Amino acid sequence: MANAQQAPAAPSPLLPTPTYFTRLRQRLNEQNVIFVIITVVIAYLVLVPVGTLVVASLRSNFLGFGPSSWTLHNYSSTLGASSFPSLIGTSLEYSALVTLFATVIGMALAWLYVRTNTPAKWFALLASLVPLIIPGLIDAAAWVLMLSQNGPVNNVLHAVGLPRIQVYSMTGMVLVQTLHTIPLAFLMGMSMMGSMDRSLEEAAAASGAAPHRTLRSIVFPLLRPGVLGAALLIFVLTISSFEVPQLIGVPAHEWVITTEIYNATSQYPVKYGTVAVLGMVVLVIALLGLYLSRRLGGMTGRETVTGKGFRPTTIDLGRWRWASLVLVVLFGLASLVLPVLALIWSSLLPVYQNPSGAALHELTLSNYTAIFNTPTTLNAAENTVIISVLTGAITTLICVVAAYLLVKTKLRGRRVLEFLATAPVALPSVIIGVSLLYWYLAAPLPVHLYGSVTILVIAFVTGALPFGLRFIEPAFSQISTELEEAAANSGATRFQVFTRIYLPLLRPALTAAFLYCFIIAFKELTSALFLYSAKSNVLAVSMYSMWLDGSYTTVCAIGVLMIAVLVIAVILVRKLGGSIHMAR
Amino acid sequence: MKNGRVRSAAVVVTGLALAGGVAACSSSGGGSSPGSGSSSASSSVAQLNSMTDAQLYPEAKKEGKVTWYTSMPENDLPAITKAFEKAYPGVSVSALYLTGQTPVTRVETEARSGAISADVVSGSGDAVLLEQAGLTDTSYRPKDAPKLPAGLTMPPGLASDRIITNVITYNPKAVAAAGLKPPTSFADLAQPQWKGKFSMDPTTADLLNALGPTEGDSTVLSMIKALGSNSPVFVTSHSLAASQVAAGTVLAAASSYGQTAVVNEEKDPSTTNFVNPSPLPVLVSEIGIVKNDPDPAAARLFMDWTISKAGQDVVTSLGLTSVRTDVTNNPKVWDPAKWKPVFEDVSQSTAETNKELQEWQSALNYSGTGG
Repeated sequence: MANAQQAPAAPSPLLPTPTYFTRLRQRLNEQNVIFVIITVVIAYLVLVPVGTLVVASLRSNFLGFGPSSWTLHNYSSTLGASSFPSLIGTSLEYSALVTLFATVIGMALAWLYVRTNTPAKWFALLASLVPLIIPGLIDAAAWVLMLSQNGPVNNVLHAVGLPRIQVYSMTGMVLVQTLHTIPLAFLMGMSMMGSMDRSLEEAAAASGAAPHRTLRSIVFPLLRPGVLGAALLIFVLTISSFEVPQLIGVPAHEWVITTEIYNATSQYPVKYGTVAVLGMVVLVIALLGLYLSRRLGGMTGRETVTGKGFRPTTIDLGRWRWASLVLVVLFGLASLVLPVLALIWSSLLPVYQNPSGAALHELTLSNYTAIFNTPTTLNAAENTVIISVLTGAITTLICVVAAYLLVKTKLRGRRVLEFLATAPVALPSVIIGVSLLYWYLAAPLPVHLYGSVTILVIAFVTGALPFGLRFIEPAFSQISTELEEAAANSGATRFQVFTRIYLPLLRPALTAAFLYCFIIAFKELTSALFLYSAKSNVLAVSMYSMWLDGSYTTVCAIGVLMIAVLVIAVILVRKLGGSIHMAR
Repeated sequence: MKNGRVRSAAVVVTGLALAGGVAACSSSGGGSSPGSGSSSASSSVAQLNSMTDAQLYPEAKKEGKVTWYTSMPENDLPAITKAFEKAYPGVSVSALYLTGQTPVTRVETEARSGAISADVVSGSGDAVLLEQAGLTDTSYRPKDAPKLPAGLTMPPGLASDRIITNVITYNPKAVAAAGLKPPTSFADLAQPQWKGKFSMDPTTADLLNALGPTEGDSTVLSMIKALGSNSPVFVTSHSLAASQVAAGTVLAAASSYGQTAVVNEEKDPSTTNFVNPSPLPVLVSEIGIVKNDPDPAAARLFMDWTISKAGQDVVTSLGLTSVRTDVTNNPKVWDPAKWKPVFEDVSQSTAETNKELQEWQSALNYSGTGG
């Protein structure tokens, strides 16, 4: 029906040729208008940061008081600096190692979860879902404490004859970021393997092929494109990450691009050109990775495997299932149990000390009472909730309209809309933060948004767009167009169709999208670091400041409260919105 | 395929159009230049400058708030803001903790955009850098400014809101467990047995600045190079350095504050102890009013109160150190008769500061593209 409205009417020989304005009026139906509005909104959100970054990288005096001209000097000085090769080398080494380990471990765990009779598999799922709501800063902080010289993890390693791990090292960086990323790889692998056609494996088995040969000849080739796509996405997310490189990498003299960008913005005078060029470097790498990832089907779920022939058969691991249980337990311990226990333990101490009988006498709730007696922290908490709710609501609203236009219409240009809405995956938070800061300082806008809550919402919505769309677009695809056609035939307006048919059917997906975007905003640190002010401070920044201030135990107390709030939010929203599939 | 290219081109063109918009305004700076305050604002400022605090208070009340960018420890800020708000009801303080040079970069960025949020800035070297960039109000003479030690001169419009001693902090329990002796000097940390086991803050050249004039720049730089060659863990704030020591993530810190070390030591002497080196490097934290700030009366009132005896009593009650002689400082941290203080040069130019910072970072092998 909607498509019929879009079909250009054949000119009748009896009617006069439509004028330009007649044709324009025909095109200005409500669907096209909404399409233009939503495309302009998303284009503004996405192209402004990129455009600002490009300009900043090419200006001799960006945001300068004096004259400014076009130049390539920023590129030659930054890319030609003697330390640049090592910066790129470290960034690539760090991202590649994390990608390798997280992908291999995550996919192996996913295989055990989906395809085998490993005991207590629910633990692996729990250990993958809960860490998604733990802010990267908190996770890194917990591991810094656990891996201190005489920290509990190092003490255990020492007791079993293994060498201690120096947390401030490339090893420490890779270890902590890998543990933080495995859940993502696990969930992507679970989605991939859950929809895999098993008839081929069964055919191979029936033909007498040994399990390892089936694995090598059937399973691996089938999964390869999806796994590579997922690995590239992990690579993009890792090279854009900030918390672990800042908290662990900088002390270890291991600089990556994101920490160098932050460093360049923190020094006086600010090296605007260097910041922009480094932003362009990470943007190009991320775009390339995203492009390859999409080509291989990892991002959109268009894997080479299909749901056809799906049967919930499981592989009996025999005695090996106990070995797989150990793997699952180790993963759960490292990913969830240890970091959360470390946070709770630290939050109950006046000054951090490793667990011991003597330390038990020191336990106190003073950090928690201090939080509730600190107006700036409470103000940051209030801002965080407001910003997160707004981000969730606005992103969901934009994405539901965009998804409708993408899935339910055949409008020309909708692929541009899809490209724009998914492109922010390649926009690291550090770029969104820096470029929005520059844009709202430089652009001659009627209102000053610098330092306001609004600018943070804009940044977070931009970053959350691809994830919101990821939840809603597939849900739209599952709703038959016949429903819309039947309603339209019964005289329902498009608005009524949307609100009475689509919205109720989409409720679980919309709830999940809202919740995911809410969580992203709740824990976002990197872009907020560039955009916050005294009035618009948020909890993540407040925690980072306290970390720098040495208030470990207070940071951990806020972290525990944040996790508790997010868990409660997930439960509440789940109850309100019905079934939510975070692992989609 | 062709359509795809056309669409891509459309996206690029739109992007470039937006970019052009930014370029057009980026060349003009997009905001006011320093010192571009209007004449009416100037006369108002002149009037405010001549007012007593009692006269400033009603004006400040009309403004209702003051925004303070500071590198003072975040945990200590509520006590100070509460005390001020109690002394001057109706004027609320919005305090923003910023480390390193970020107070300066923040204010400069705000000034470029013409959207200044900060009223008052304080920190070691921050207000001085802003003053040299023409971004502080140099016309104001704060009332009851504490007298500085001989040889120190504060740039116009600025005053000291506290002083900060640089000490060597170590974790007695962890040091003993590692079979080491507690460090007594910077030179100790340059010994091979300390390799990779102590931290240094590469983001500020405070030791070089304070020790250079008395010990000689080349001597201090040699010492820093020796420390830098001993693989220090980099830490981006002195306060964090002391907490890392207490938590045992490093055994000792060459760059840490006496004020933080003494608090940690009082909480748990088994994990924190510290040494006041001789001579004792001392940083001066300056406070100043941002030029063309949105709340000039409240800013003056807040600055006056912060450096007054009443304000400094609150500062010292938090374990921080005051330059005033009519308040009580913690004797473990500040006793000039016991540890000879050497002060950083607050009159240093921005170029000199940056040159010193480069030398410092180079000596420590602190990386960066440097573009």
